[in-house]
Amino acid sequence: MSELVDEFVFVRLVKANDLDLTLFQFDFDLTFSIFFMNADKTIYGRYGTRSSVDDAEKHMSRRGLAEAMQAALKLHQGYPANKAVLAGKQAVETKYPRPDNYPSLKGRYKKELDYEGKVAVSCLHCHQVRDAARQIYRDAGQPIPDKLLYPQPLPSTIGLTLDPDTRATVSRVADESIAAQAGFKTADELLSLDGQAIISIADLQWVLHHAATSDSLVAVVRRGGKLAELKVALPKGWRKQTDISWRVTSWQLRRMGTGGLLFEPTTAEQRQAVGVKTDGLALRVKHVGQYGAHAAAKRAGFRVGDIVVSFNGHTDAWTTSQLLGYTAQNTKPGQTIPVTVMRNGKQLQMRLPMQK
Amino acid sequence: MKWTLALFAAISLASLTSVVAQNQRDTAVREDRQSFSENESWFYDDLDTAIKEAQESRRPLMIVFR
Repeated sequence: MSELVDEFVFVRLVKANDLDLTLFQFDFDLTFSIFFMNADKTIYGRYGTRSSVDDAEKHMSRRGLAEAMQAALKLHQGYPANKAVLAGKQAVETKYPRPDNYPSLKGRYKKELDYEGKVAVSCLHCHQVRDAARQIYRDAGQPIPDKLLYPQPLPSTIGLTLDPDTRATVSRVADESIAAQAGFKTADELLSLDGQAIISIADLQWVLHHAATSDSLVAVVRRGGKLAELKVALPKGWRKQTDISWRVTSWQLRRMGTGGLLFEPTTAEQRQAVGVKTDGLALRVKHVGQYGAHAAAKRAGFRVGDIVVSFNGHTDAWTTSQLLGYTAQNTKPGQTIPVTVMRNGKQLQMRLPMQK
Repeated sequence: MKWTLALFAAISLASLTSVVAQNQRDTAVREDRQSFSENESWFYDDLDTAIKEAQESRRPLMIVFR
């Protein structure tokens, strides 16, 4: 990587307080993200991917970053003749050019950090941009749109695993997945998707993020030295397969739809103990929020260890992600919904308030 | 080498800062600024100057958010 040091101008941005959202659009749940850009603000690509709370670096490596840097450099050398493969990588139009334009963030943060005082709390975090965008819909009693609720879908959403030590080489294709149906194979090198040059996993996520509810994308891969074109068919509802429960923005979704409850999956033994089949709902309360709006479930009587077996009449085997998605799109603030829990072998009927 | 150390210190801090206490976070942010400000390879929180440098040197920008 050291040989690349002289090839770039390096910039470190540490706050989103006055972030130009007409230029910088990325996965706001990340704590680390990179843009490769021309001086005229044309974006060559993005780098940085995360899929869990605990393992922040699972999808990133020095080798992978070095490959992304080399690919960005090639795009820079080919610019502006290659504008066509960069067109889709540029930011899209937004109603909110700065974070301060969002109603829930207006006036809350100064443009600069308070380095002499409490500097950390003077920083508007990137994830707050997404929180603010969702809040507009929640406050209006409207469902949060799919693209906002399930942002930057991971490659695994379509059944792909990419090797983090590479630019974008397939290391696994899940059986019977969208990627398998498209014809992806292990060791395929993904060169472009939907006409966009792909230099990282984050670039793939960017394409998926902007794909339609149901869509068809053309992928170009290098396989055994030859190029192959694959058709990726995205069926209706594909986006909802991505997991949002690890995201820091799920904290606000929990306030809205679970009254501050944090769930975990149940074990086979726990399911058996409460008499729930494998295709039935059984989410265990791991944590009950203690303060403010995050204590709404606590005030309603929920406890750690409760196992939710019915949620507003639904008994399907939801994941936490699916439950959060349901509440964000199918409930409104002010509603109180019925929830059935198992506690110490007994079935209890509870009422859970939905909140802003 | 100093450049790559600075970058991967940034990656590591990304996961670290979510769990440390508030006053430790304040210290970490100040130390981070100090560390990057002393590194001539980086423009710290100054995109406009970095863009001018990119224009003059005809190099691409690598912008790290953390």
